[in-house]
Amino acid sequence: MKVMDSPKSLDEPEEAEPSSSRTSDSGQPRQPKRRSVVGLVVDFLGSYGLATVLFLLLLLLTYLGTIEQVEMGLFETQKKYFNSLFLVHEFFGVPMLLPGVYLLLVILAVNLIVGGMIRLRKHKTTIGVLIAHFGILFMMFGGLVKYEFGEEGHMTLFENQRSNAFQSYHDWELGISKAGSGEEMVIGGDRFQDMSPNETRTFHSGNLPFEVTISRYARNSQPMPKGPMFEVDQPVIDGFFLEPRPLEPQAEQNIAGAYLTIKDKATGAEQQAIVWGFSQKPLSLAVGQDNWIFDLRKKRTVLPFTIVLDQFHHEFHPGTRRPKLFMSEVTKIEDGHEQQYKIEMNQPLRHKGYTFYQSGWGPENAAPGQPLFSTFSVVRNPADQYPLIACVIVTLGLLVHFGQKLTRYLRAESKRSS
Amino acid sequence: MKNTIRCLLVLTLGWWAVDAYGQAEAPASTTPAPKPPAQSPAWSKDVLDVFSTLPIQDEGRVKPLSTYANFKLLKLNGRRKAMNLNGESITPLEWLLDCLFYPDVAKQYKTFLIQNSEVLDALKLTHADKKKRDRYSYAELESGRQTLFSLAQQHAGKETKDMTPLEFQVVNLAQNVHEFEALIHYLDFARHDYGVAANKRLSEFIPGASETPFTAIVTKGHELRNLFTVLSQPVEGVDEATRQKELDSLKTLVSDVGTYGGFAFALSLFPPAGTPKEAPTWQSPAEVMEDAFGAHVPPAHELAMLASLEKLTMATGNPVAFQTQLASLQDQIVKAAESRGEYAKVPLEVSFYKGNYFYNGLVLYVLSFVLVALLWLMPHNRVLGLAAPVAIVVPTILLVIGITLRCIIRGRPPVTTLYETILFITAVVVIVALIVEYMNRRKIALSLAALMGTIGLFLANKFEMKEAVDTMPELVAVLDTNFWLSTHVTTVTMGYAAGLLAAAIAHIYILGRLLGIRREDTAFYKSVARMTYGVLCFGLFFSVLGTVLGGIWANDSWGRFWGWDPKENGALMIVLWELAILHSRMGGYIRDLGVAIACVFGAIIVAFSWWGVNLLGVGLHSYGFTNGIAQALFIFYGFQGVIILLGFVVWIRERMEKRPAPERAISPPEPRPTKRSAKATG
Repeated sequence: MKVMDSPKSLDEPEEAEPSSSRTSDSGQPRQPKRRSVVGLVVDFLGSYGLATVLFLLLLLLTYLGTIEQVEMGLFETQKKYFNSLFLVHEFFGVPMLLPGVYLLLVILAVNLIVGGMIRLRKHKTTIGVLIAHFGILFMMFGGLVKYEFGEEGHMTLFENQRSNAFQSYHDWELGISKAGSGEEMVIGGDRFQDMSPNETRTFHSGNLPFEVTISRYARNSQPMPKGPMFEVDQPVIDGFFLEPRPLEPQAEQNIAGAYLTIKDKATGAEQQAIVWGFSQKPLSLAVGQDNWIFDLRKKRTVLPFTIVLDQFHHEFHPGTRRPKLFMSEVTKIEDGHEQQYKIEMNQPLRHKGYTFYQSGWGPENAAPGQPLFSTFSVVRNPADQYPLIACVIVTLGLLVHFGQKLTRYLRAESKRSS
Repeated sequence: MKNTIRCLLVLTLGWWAVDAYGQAEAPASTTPAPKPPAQSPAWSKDVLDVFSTLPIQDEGRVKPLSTYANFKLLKLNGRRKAMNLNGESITPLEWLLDCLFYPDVAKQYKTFLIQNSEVLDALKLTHADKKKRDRYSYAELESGRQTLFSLAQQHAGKETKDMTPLEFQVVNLAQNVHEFEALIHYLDFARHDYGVAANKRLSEFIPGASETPFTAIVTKGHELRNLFTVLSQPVEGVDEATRQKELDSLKTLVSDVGTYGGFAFALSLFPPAGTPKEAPTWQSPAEVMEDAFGAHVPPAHELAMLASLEKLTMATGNPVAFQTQLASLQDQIVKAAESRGEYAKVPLEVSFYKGNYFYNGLVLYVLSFVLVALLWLMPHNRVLGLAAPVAIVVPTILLVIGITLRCIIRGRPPVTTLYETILFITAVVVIVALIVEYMNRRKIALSLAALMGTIGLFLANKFEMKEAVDTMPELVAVLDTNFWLSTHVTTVTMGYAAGLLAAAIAHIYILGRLLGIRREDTAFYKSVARMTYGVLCFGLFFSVLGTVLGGIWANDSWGRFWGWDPKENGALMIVLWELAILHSRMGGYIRDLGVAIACVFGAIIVAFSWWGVNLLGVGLHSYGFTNGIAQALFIFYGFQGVIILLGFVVWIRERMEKRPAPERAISPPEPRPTKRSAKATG
C-alpha cells in the first residue's frame, strides 16, 4: 500500500529516522552506490518493505484461517494455512497460490535478524527496538521448538484407574504383536498417514514372518456391511467393506481405517483384512502357526511415571449449569514413590517436562455414585516457559522504545508551547 | 434447573403428586382467587427499601431482589419500567411486587414486548388497535397461551440460528410468559385454602394450620407421607369407608400442596444452614416442600422463613401487618445470609444500581459534547474553556466509580464479560484522550473524549438492554483466575481502546483534509498526525503485551501458547496490522495520510477481534458468543469503509492538485524514500 505524495508540508514523515542507505552522516542525500547481488539480497531480506509485506500476508492468512475454521474445523485449517509452506485458497472461486504461515514466519525471522538486529543502527534510541526484536525472535524460536519437538495428546482415566501413557489427538499407529508374546512392533503413523486412497505401502521386518501392506487408507472411515442391493468399489471382507467418510471439523473425531494385506514370507499366502481405529477389539489373524494381533490405534506415548485418578470433582454455580470447578485428585507413582496432586483449570500438574491439564470429564449425565472419568491434555513442550521470558523481553523493549519516543514528543510539545 | 423440581417432586411425593402437577400445567384454571383486592397497589418507600435489599440467589449468585426485578422486567418488557393500571410509571421492583402480591393486577400490565405482530397472528389473537411492535398484557395473551406453548414446543428443538425470526419470537415469548407465570403464581401456596381447618382429623394432625396452613402441612410432611402409607392399606380398627375417605382427603391435601407449592420455585429466598461451600444452593419454598416430603427434613430456620413468607402474603392489603411481617422475614433472611458471609455486598449492589452511574455518565457526556461544540464556535470563551474539560471529567469519574464498584461487588478485575469490555474500553479511550489533550491542548482529543464517551456508554446501555441478563454473572471455571483476568484481559482491551482512539483521531485527520478545514494550518495536521501515531504506539504496546499474556495464560490453562483460536487470531491481527503500519511508515511507504487511512482500517480489525470472532461461534473463547450484533457490526464496517474511501479521495485529489503545480518544478525535490534496505531505527 503506497499512500503518499501528498503535499510535503502536511504529509512528510513525522520523525524522519532515515536508514543509513538513504542519507549520509552529514544528512545530505547519498549518491547511489553500486551494490553486489549479495548486497542487494541482504538489503531486500532486511528491508522494511519485506517486513511490511510479511505482516500483511500474515494478517491475510490469519484472517482466512480464522474464517475457514467455521467450515473446516481447527485442525484442517491449521494444517492448510498455518503449518504449511504454500497453499491454494479460492477467492470467490478463483484459486490463488499463497505462501503458508510457516514459510512466512521463517522469512520474517530472517528479516528480523538481518534488518531488525544485525543491520539495525546501534544507538541509544534503538536499544528498545533491539530488545523487542530479540524478544519476538526468541518467542518465534520457542514456537519452532514446540512445533518440531513438542508432543501432545490426552489421557482419560476413570476414578481409580491408572495409566503410564497418553494418546495423541490426531496421530495413529499400527501395533503388531504375536498373541501372548508381550512384545510389540509399531509402525508409526508418520509412515502411512499421508497415503492417498489409491496408494499402497508395504512394510518389512526381519522380526516378522510376513510382510504388511497397507492400502486404501482413509483418515475418516466406517466399516459397513455389504448388502445385496448395492455395489461398492472397496473390497468386501467377511461381508464388510470400509467406507471412507468426509473429514470431521473436529479432527479428533476422525476414525482412521485401512485394508491390510498380510503376505506369509514362507508360503507366499496372502490374506486381507480391515483395520479400523474404533474397533472394540484389535484384528487377530493366524499366520503360520501363530496368531498375530494388528491394532490400529491413536499414537501412544509412554511416560516415565504412572498417574492414578483418585477422584474427580465438578461443581456448578448454584442453580445453574455454569461450570464452577473441575478438579482431579491424582496420585503420581514413580519408582515406587507416591505423591498426590490436584489438577484444576489454570492449575496443571508439571513433572519431568510433561504437563497435565484438566480438559474434560464425563459422563455428564452420570447417576450419583457412578464413576466419573477425567480427561487430561498432556503436553511435552521443551519451550514451555519461553513465551513468558519472551514476553518480559518484548515488554521491556517496547517500554524503553516508546518511553523514549514519548519523552521526545513531550519535549517537542513543551518547546512548541513555549 | 428450577423446572426440574416438578419432576423431582413427582419422584418424591409419588403418584399422588402426578395429579397435582397435571393441574399445575393449567394454572389459569386452578389459580385460587387472590385474597387481596384487584387494584393498583401503592408501595410505601419503607417497604420498597426493605424489598430492594432482600437477598436472593439467582443465576448462581446472591444478589438484591431489586437487581433480579431490574433484569426480569428488562427481559420481558424491553425496558426498566412498566405502567400500572392508573397509567403511572412504576419501577421494576414495584412491578415485581405487584406480580407476587397482586397477580390479578399484574396480569393487566402491558408486560410483554412483542417485536412483530405476526406473533399475535400465529396465536390467532387480535391486535387491531396495536402497533407492529407493541406491548401486551398477560390478560391479552392468555387466550392464546396453549397455542403459544404448542408452537414453542415445535420450534424449541431447533438451534437459534436455524429459526426464522417468527419462530424465534414465539419461543422467546413462550419463555417470557412462563417466567411471568412463575412470578404471579409464586405465592399461590400461601393464598390457597387447603381446607385443613374444616377437616377435624387433619386439623388435629396439623397444628398451626389455621395460622400458616402451607407451612404447617409442610412441617408435617414426613408424618403425612407415613400416614399415606398407612392409609393405603386396610387399617386395623378403622372401617373401610372411613379409611378411604381419609385417604381421599389426604390425597387432595397433598395434591394441593404439591400444586401450589410447586409453583414457588422462581425465587430462591432462603439461605440454607452451613457455609456456602457445604451448602451452596439457596432454597425456594418449592424446594423446602420437596425436602419435607422427601428424604431430608427441612431445617427449622427454613420452615420459619417459609412461615414468615406465608404470613407476609396473608397480610397483603393490610399495610401495618404487611410491614411487620416483612421486617420479620427480612431479619431472618438477612441474618442467615450474613452468617454465610453472603450479604455484605448486597446493599452495595443496591446503591450501585441506584447510582445509575453509566446512564448519568451518558447524559453528562452528551452535555459535555455540546459544550465542546460550543467551545469550537467560541474558542476564546474562558468559561467554556474551563467548563468543557470539567464536563468531560465528571462523567469519566462516574464511569470509573461505576467500574470500581462493579469490581468490588464481584471481587473481580474490571473486565470479565463483553458488557464490561464496553465500559472499560470507553473509560480507557476517554482517559487516554484526556491525557493526549493535556499534552497537546488542541481540543481535538477533548472533543473525541466527549464523543467516544457518549458513544461508548450509549453502546453499553444498548447492549445491556438487548441482552437483558444480569451483567454480573458468575464466571465459568476457566475464567476463574483474577491474575490472568487482570493482566491479559485488561491489557488486550486497552489495546482495543487505543486502536479505536487512533482511528477516531484519524477520522478527524481525513475529514479535515477532505473538507479543507484549516487548510493552511500545517501545524494542526502535524499535531493530529502525531496524536494518531502516539496512540497507535500505545495501542501496539498493549496489544502485543495482551496477546502474549493471553498466550501464556493459554499455555497455563490449555497446554499450548498458541492454538490459532479465533479470539487469539483477532488479537494477533491487530498486532500485525499495527506493526505493518509502523514498519511501512518507517520505510516511507506511507506518510501521515496513509497512517490515518490505515488506522481507520485498524478500527475494522479491532471490531472484528472484539465482536466479529464471537459471531463465528467456534473456538475455546466462544463463551463470549452473543446474538444479534452482526447488523451493528456491519454498519460499523461500512462506516469505516466510507471513511477509508474518503481518505483515498483526499489522496487522489491532492495528487491531482500537485501534478500541474508550477512551483513543483522550482522547489527542490523532496528526498522521497523508495525501498529501504535496512531497518535503521524502530
